[in-house]
Amino acid sequence: MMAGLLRIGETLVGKIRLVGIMVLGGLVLVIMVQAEAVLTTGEAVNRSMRYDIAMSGLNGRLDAVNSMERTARYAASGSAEDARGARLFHDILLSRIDTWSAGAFWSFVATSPERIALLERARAKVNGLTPLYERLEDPAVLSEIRRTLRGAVQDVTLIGSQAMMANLAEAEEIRRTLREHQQIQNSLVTVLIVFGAVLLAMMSYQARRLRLARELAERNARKFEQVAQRDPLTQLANRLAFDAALDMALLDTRETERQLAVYAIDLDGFKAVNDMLGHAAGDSLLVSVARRLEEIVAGWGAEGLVSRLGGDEFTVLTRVSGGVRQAEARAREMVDGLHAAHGLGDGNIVVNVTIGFALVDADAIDGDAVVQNADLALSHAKAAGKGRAQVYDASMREDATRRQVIEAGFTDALARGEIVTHYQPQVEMATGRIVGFEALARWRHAELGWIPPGEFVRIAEASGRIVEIGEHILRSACRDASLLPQDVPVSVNLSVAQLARSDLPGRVADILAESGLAAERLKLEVTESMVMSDSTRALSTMRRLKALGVWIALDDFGTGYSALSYLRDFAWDELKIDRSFVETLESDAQSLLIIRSIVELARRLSISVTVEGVETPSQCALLRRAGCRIAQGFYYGHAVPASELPAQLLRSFSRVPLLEKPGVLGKGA
Amino acid sequence: MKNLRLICAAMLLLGSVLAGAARAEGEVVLTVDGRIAGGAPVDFTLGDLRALGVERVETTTPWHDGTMVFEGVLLSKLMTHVGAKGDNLTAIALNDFYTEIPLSDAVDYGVILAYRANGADLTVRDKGPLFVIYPFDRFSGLRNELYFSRSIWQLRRLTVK
Repeated sequence: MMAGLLRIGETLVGKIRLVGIMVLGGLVLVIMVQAEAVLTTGEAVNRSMRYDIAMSGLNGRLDAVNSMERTARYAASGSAEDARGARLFHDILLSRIDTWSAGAFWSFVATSPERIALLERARAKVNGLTPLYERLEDPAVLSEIRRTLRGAVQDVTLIGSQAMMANLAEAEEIRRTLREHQQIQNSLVTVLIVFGAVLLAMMSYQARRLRLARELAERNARKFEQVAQRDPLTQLANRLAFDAALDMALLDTRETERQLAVYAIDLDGFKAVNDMLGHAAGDSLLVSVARRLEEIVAGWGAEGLVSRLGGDEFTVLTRVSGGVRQAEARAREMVDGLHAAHGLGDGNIVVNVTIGFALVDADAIDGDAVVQNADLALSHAKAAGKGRAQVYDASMREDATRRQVIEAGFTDALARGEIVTHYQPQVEMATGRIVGFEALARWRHAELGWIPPGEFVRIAEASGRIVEIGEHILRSACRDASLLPQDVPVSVNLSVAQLARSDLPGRVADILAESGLAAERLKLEVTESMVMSDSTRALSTMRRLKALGVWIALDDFGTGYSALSYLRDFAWDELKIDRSFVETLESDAQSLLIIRSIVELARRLSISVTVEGVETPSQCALLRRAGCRIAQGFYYGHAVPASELPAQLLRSFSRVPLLEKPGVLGKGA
Repeated sequence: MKNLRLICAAMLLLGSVLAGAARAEGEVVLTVDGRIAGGAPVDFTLGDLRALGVERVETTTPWHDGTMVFEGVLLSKLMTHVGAKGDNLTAIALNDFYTEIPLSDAVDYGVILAYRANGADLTVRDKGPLFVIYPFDRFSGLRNELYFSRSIWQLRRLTVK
């Protein structure tokens, strides 16, 4: 519809332009006509001002009549005075005929042969009188003069009248021309007025269009502003609007009593909802969460802004008067409120949210810092477990700084060999003999000292450096193992990033070839969650590894889903029972039962079992009774550098008689 | 007796002719009256006018073929001479033709009262003895009926108003 209107608008503009050009052309024409009219009017006026032959014609008649009258007067009085007068007027009449025979009057006379003849006749008559005037006193002569004059007067009168008529005709012609021009000018004025009116109308139309266009532009600008400030899915404020609101709130110095609180809210397992139920369901969930958050925040009073920054990240901005305690209560309210089932059309879904929040205090007065604090708190809350709320505290920032230092240090650490491989023994409980080692990464940072493996491995996993580090550990483990005096196997943990790479089996084969270690002496440990994330691909990679002769162990068994289908789908060489069962072994009878069951299950499936986290003799005793044979933990030894391994091995083998080959023991009976 | 009478008549005629010629110089050709110095009308003969200086005007007119060379007295000089105190002149011809001439024309255009044209004295038949001439060729603005009508010929009397 918009396009249609625009087209109509363009057509109108085109028409207006055409009219404009026509009007301009018309104006040029008017100016030309006017110029011509002015010229011809001037000419007509000039003509009207030229020598007036009518006047000369009239005066000629008068001269002739006067001449007659003077002779009559002399005839009556006979006085010398009147004789002189008669002669004078004869001269005047002669002079008049001369005047008519030259210049402008002659031009008029010459236009007609009859008139020329008439003038010649008059001239002949009057000229003929000249000698007679010498004999004026003679009555006979006088009467002849008077008779001749009468004829001459007739001729002169005729010419004079014709001159008057011609003059009148010309005057009429001039008047007509002027009248015509006046009419033309009147028309021109009318045309000009019409053009003026058209131009005025066009201008006002144009002005109206401009006004409409401006209004439309303003409306659009407002709409775009709204669009720019809104998340299109949930209609919540977006990041831009949130930042603006936060800045405004921070600048509001009137608020001194109540603290500003920023909540960073994350839906737990939103990706799974998207993956399993589809994006439409995911979007519906986000909308539902948005509405519920708005309801909750509305319940706190007027102030409070809910925004969606993207994905499943929401923020809430509000003010609290009761400090951290009230802020925490509100966070709880949101966690609980959002936990209630969300109706998604097809069915209900329950989600947990994790919240990190921060209060604005004297230390954090800029918006970015507050948001960062809330994000840090959210990270901590997630790390600590989902579905909880965590307030920011200053140590988190230190953690974040430390994390950055660690992340930045990986490259140097690998180059300088700061990340080293230590080995924790795996021992046959019955004999105390070492039957294997687990390779563990250890990092002594130049500034930070020893960094807990869990910490840097997690950071390496997040930053993707885990592939390099994992390969480094694998290579050193293979090399170190190949140098051992006994053919004990070595276990190396794989990361999900390594497992995801299809070239892993090739790399492993290369490393084995480099080190000369037999493939059977390498165990690669994977966790259930690593397999779960992309099970088809993971299982395929694992099968290719197994084809090399490498052993594959399932680490941390018993936690997570422990889906037994994995035991069916893959021929595991070893299960490693998670340390959490061992920890609770003495306090929880169920743990022992579970371990017993796992061992029995593994025995039936011909899978070797190793128990992790054994720290006390009593644990050792219980596990042995449960049927476990191989254990790993502080009770049997911490992780040590490779250099200490030969001595350890020698000790363990000299302590007890060599009954069985460790490799066979490792595999289990 | 008859012869004597004839002789007398011939002598009379000659005498009158001679007298006419003499009168031609002595004859009053112009009278100026109205608001002038002294108030009384002043008569001028051609000689009086020549004494005021000769001005030449070369121009075409509507009444002649070709260019004419007029000689006469400057109207402005004449007006100064009579001590004219008005703004307008009324000019009257021998045939009682009447016109009005603003005195400013005399100064602005150098109007003359011509008594000679192309080297010959103007007779009544030549629109003499006095012919008011504007220099039409010098001022194109004069070439219209208004100034043509002011160019009175056979002038006999000027009245200052």
